[in-house]
Amino acid sequence: MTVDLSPRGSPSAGRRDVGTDNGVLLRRVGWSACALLVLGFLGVFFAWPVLAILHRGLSTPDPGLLAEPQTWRLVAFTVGQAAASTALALVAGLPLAFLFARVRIPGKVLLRALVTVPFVLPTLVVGMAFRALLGTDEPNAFAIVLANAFFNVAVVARTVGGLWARLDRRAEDAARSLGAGPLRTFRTVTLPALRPAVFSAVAVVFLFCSTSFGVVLVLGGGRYRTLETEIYLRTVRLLDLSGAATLSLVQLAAVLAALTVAAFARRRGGAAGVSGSEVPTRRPRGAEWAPVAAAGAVLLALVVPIAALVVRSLRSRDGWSLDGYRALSGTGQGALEVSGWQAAWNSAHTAFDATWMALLLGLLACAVLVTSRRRWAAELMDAALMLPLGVSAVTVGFGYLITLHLLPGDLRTSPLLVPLAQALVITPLVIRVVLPVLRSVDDRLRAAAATLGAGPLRTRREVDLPLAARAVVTAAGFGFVVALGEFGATGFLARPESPTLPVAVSELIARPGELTTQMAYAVCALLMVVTVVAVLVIETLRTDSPGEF
Amino acid sequence: MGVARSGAVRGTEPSDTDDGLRMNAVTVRYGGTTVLSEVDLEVPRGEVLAVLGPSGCGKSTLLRTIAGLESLAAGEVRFDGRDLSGVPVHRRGFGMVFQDGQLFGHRDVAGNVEFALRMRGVGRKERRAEADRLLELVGLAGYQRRRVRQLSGGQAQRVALARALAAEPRMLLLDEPLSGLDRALRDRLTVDLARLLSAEDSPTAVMVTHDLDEAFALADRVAVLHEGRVLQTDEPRRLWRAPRDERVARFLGCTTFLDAHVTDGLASGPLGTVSTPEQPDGPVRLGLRPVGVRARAGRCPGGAETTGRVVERMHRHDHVRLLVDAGEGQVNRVEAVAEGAEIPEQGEEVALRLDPVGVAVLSGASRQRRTRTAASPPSGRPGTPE
Repeated sequence: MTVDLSPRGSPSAGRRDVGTDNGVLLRRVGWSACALLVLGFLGVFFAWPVLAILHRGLSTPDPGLLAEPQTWRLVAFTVGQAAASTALALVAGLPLAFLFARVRIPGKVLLRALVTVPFVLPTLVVGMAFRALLGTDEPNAFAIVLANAFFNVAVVARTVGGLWARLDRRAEDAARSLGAGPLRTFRTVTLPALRPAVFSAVAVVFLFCSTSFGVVLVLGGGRYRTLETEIYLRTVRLLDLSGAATLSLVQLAAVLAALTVAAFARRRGGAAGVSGSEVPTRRPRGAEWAPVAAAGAVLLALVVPIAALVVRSLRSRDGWSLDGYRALSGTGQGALEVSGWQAAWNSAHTAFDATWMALLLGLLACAVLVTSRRRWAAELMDAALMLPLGVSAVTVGFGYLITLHLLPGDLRTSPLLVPLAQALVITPLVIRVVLPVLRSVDDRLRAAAATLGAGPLRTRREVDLPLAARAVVTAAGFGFVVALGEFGATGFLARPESPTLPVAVSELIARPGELTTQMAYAVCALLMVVTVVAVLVIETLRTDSPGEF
Repeated sequence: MGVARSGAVRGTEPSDTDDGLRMNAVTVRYGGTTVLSEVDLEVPRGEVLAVLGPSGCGKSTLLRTIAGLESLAAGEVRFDGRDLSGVPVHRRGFGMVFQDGQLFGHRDVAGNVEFALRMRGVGRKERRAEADRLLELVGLAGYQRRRVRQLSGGQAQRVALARALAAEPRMLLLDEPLSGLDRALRDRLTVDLARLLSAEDSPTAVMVTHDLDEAFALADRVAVLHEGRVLQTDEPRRLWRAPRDERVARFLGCTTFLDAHVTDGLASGPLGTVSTPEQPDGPVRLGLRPVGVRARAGRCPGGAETTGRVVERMHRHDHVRLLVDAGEGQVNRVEAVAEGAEIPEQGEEVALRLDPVGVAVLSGASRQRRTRTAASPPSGRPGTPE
C-alpha cells in the first residue's frame, strides 16, 4: 500500500511514499539479522572452539584426574587465592568507594584515574610490578593475592561507589536521628542498601581472580598453580588435552556459578532509596575521617607497585641506567625474533584491529539488546555475551587452532587471528560500558524523534549515538588498553615472528640475563605509561555516565 | 478559546466528511490486559478534542496509538479517509508534545526546534528563520542558544510545543502538556495554548488530560475515557450540563444523584426544585455537585425548603464544604457549600437550596435506577466523623 502523508503546506523534501507494511517486516528481519550476526560471531569464534576443546578432551576422558588429590589441591588453591584476593579487594575498595561517592576532594578525576589504572594494566605488568617490589623471582603465594587484589580494587570502588553516590543520604540521617552511631548506621542502613553492588562486585572480582593468568604465571613460578595456568601448562607444554579439557569443565562450572550470582545480584539492584542523580558530596567530618584516611592508605598502596616497576626499569646492577629502554631497539640478545619497537608496533596494530571489531560487535549487540522486546531473550543474550569474560582465554586460543582451519580461507595464518581473539575478550567490556547508558535513555525521547519525522535508523543516529558517544569513546579506550595487554589468548596465538609486547615480556623473562630482565621491565613500564595516558584521557572525558566500570 | 464547530452533533455520531482523524473500534492490548476497548473517536479537521479521564484509564495509550507508537489489536485509525495501519510513526506527520517535554538534552533550544526541519532536509538558513519565528510564537525569543537543562519546566514545555509545531504537523498530539507545572504557570500556558490552537490555520489537535480546567479551556469537544472505553463525547458545556450517566457525572464532579420530575422547566425532587429550562416534562435523574447545593445556617421561615444536619465541615480556600445529613428519604447524605455570613457548626441544622449552576441532568438511560446513593464524604476528611 502506498500512502501520501506529506503535511499540508510543508516543504516536504524528505518524506516519501513508502510501502510501509514491508517496512515493518524489513525492520523486524533487520533486527533478527543483527542478533543472528552477533550470536553467529559468538558461536563461531567462541562457542565452537571451546566446545571443540572440551569434546576433544572428553572423547578420551581422564576421570582419574578428578580422583587425584593434586587436582583438588589445585582447585583448593585456585578458589582459596581468589577468595583471599576478593576479600582484600573488597576491604581496600570500600573506603575508596566512600571517598568517590560522598567526599568532596580536589583532584578527584586524577584519583579516580589512579584507581582505574591497575584494572586495565596488563596482568603480566602487574605480576612484574610485584616482582620488582619484592625484589625476588621466588614464587610467592602472598604476592599473588596482593597482585590480584591490586588488580581488582577498581572494580569494587567503581561498582559500589556508583551505587553509593546515588544512595539517598536521608535514610542514614534518619538512622542517626533515631540514635544509631556512625558505625551502626553504616552496618544497619548503608551496607544493606549497597548489598546489590557489593554482591555484583564480589562475583566479578572472584571471577577475575579465579581465572587470573598472567599474575599467577609470573609470581607463582612452577610452584603455585591455578586451574588457568594448569590448563595452559597441560595444553602447551604437556599436550595433555584430555586433562586440560577436564579442568576447563571444572572452571566453566565455577564461572557459570559466579555469573549467575552476579546476574542475580544485578537484578536485585535499584533497591529502595536510590535516586536517579548523584547525591552532593561534602567535606568529611567526625568519624568520616577514618574511611577517608583508609582510602588514602589504599591509594598509596596502589602507587607503590607502579613506582617500583618504574624504578626497577631504570636500575641495573651498577645503578641508574637506561639500558633496558635502549635495548628495545634490539631483540634482547635473540630472545625475540623482532626488535622491541617492532613488538610495540605489532601491539598497537593488533589492539587497534581488536578495538574496532569489538566496537562493531558490541554496539551491534547493544542495539539488539536495547531494541529487543522479549526480556528473557535479551537477558539470555546479555549473559551469553559475558561468557568470554570468564572462560579461559587459553582454552579459546587453543580452540582456534583446532577449529578455524575448517572455515573457508585459513584464518590461522591470518593477521586478524589475534585481534579476533582479543576482540572476544573486550567485547563484554564494551557492552558493560555502553549498554547501561543506552538503557537509561528514555524511550519517549526516541518516540519524540519519530514523531518529528526521524526514521528508525535516523533515530539511532540522532538520539542514541550522541547520548552514548562518551560511553563509546570510553569503551574504545578501555578496550584498546585491555587488548594491548591481553596475554592469555595472544600468548597462545601470536606467531613468533610477530609478538606483541606482553608476549615479548614473557619471552624475555623466560631467558635469564641482566639485559633481558632489564628490557622486560622497560617494556612493562612502557605498557604502563600507555595505560595511564589512556585512562587519564578517558577519565577527563567522562563525567557521570551510568556505566558499570 | 476555540469555537465549538460540532453544533448539534452529539455523542459519537459520524459526520459526513472524511476530513481529519477517525478511530473505528480501536482495541489495544498489553499482553493479557485490554487497555483500549473498541474506541470510536472522530476529530474533524481544525478541531481540538480533549480526552479526559483518571490516570490509568488508557489516555496516554490512546495518544500513542494515534501517533503510531502502539500497535492495534483490532480496529482502524484513519486520517483524511486513509487507513494509517502500517504507516510508521515518522511518516504520519503528527506532532507530539510529551508530558515532560522530552527535549533532546544534547542539543540546544534551537537545535531541538529545528530537528523536524532537519529531518526533512530543510536548509540551514531556512531552519534558523523558522526556529526564530516559532520561538517568538511561544514567547521564547532569544533563547536559541540555551541548553535545555537550563530551562524551567514551563520554558521546556514551550520549546517542546515549538518543536512539535516546526514539523508543521497535520495533527498535534498533546500528552498532559501542562500537568507537570505549578498552578499559576499552568493557567498562563493554558491561555497561550488556547490562542495557538484557535488560530486561523491551527492544526487539528488531540490532547489527553485529567485536568477538567485544561480540557474545558482548550477543547472544542471533550471525550470521557474510563477503563479503556469512551463513555461520552460532547462539547464542553453540554458535557458539563448533561453527562450521559453517573460514571461520567462522577468524573465531572457530581457527588449526589437523585430522581426528580420536570414540569414547565422546573425539576422537583427531594432537595427542592431547580430550573432546567431545556428539559421536557417528565422524570429525570439529576447529578448534584457540591456547588449545586447551598446550605444556610438555621431553619428558614416558611419551611418550604429541605433541612438537614451538618455531619462534617471542611474549609476550602474559597468556600466551606459541608457534608449534610438530609434525613430519611431518597437522599440521606449530600455534599453542600455553605452560604451566608454565618458558617454552620457541626451538628447544626441547615436549610438546603438547589443552585442550577451545580446541577447536571443525566442524559442517558440511568433514570430507571432508583437505588439510594449515599454521597461520599468530602475528600480529605476534616476531623473525626461522628
